[in-house]
Amino acid sequence: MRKKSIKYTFQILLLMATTLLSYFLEPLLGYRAIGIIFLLAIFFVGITGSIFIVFLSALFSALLWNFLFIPPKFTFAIRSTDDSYMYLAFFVVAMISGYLTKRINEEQRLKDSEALYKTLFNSISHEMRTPLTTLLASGAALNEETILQNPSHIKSVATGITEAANRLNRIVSNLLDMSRLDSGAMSLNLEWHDVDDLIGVVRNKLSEELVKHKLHIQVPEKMPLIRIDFNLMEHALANLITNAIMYTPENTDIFLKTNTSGNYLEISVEDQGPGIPTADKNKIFQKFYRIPGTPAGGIGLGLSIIKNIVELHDGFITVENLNPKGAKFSIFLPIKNQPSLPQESAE
Amino acid sequence: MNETRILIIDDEYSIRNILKINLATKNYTIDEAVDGKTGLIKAKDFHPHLIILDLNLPDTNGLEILKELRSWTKIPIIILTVHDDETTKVRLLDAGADDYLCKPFGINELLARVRVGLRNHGHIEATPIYNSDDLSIDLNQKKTFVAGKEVKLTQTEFEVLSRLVREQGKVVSQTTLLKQIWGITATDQNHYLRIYINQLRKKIEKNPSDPKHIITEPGVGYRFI
Repeated sequence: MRKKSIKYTFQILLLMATTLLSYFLEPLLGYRAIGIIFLLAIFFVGITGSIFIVFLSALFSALLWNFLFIPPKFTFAIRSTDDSYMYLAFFVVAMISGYLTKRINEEQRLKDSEALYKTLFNSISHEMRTPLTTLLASGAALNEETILQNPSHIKSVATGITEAANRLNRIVSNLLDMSRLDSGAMSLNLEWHDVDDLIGVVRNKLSEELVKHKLHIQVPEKMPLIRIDFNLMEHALANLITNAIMYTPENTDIFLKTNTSGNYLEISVEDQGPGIPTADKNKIFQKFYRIPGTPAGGIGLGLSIIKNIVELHDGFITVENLNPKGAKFSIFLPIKNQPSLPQESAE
Repeated sequence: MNETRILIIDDEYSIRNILKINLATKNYTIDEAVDGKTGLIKAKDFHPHLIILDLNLPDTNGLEILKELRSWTKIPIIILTVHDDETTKVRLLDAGADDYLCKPFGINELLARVRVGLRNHGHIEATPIYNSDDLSIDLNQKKTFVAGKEVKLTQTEFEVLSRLVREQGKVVSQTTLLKQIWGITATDQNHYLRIYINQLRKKIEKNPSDPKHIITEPGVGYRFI
């Protein structure tokens, strides 16, 4: 919704700027050339706006041009027959060119999304088939007499099933999150929350994954409440910690720190892994991008989901490498005016 | 005649089967129904002590079954659902569900909820003193002890704690807590709870960022363990 109104504002501003520019250029170019400037503006509208907006812009440009520039000025009348023909031509050309720009633009978008879906299906089919294979093989194994007679075999099969299922669960949750975020159907359920609480819930959820890493939590004594959609922010933070678990060696430390800096509350995750290659620092937040050579287990959605969620909260995310090794991801969330509390009578 | 009977209403064979296997290890007697209609009949004939109800049934919505059951029985009902959004959870609790589990859930989680459901339904006697690990709460004397040492709680802190403690193991919704403690006009003042739960945790939890007693149920409420 908000995006739409921003777009409208952009188009209105564009028309106003064009009109203003034309006002100054008219003495130099003459009123006929002004039509070309308006045509140019409609091209731009075609790049960003819907066909409806293109039509409206063409209509308004025609009216503006007529009213302000074509003599007699400040009337909608047109004096000469030549100007009338030119005016009609302007309107037709404006509509057609606006429509064409729009179509070229849409075709490009379709091509882009097609490429995106190809990447998606490739990576999903690969990442999902691996755990599915484990599950199928485990089912078959548990039908084998020789395996059933050996308790340690059964145990290892059970562990394999759990791991494979967890991996599938992670992929499915991320896909669901992504499609919800993409569809724009997500309405934020903003409430005041305690960052300590957020951390507690995420830590509890990841307790199984955290057995091979040590998570150190550092939260200062007094922290402001933050206004967030708890579920979404929980997914964001869980994704960030899961990344630290998946892409760093076993038995290394992960630090989860919170702090206030200026008008922002910072939640950072520091690991002792290989860090992020400089060339990839900007790309890692793109959908489906995975740093070449990273171990299997993800489809490249985690960071783009986190970024998306954090930006929905008017925040931002940064990444830097640590000295001597490791990466540090920081989520910054705006601190809003704190709500008031009921007065408690002294004991 | 000491058996505890559990009725499972779920259309998925694999879910029923794995629940049955796991519940049988705890010596519960199980019956099952594949749709809502059969579920309602069996709820009357089988006299279950607890019902596990899937929200997504082939013939009716599990929510309708829940409401129908609630019109004549108070037995604990645990709902299984694939929806993990807060609105669904709150709606379920409002409709009289004792608890819910979102698929995929862990079997230990389910067994814990079943135990709590059966206990809250009078299988264990009520007492004014609650113990949980190193924590002991005396509702009569209004005193709280951590590892044998008394901890001073403010009046409101104790109010919040005692309301959770009385429902030990069960999720208590934010709205219920706010209404009971601050009155009907405060039901949207969720931040009151954030502050008091934070203070409580600092006093009774070993590590407030890793709470073991007061568990947050995101968007729904809190659970005392």
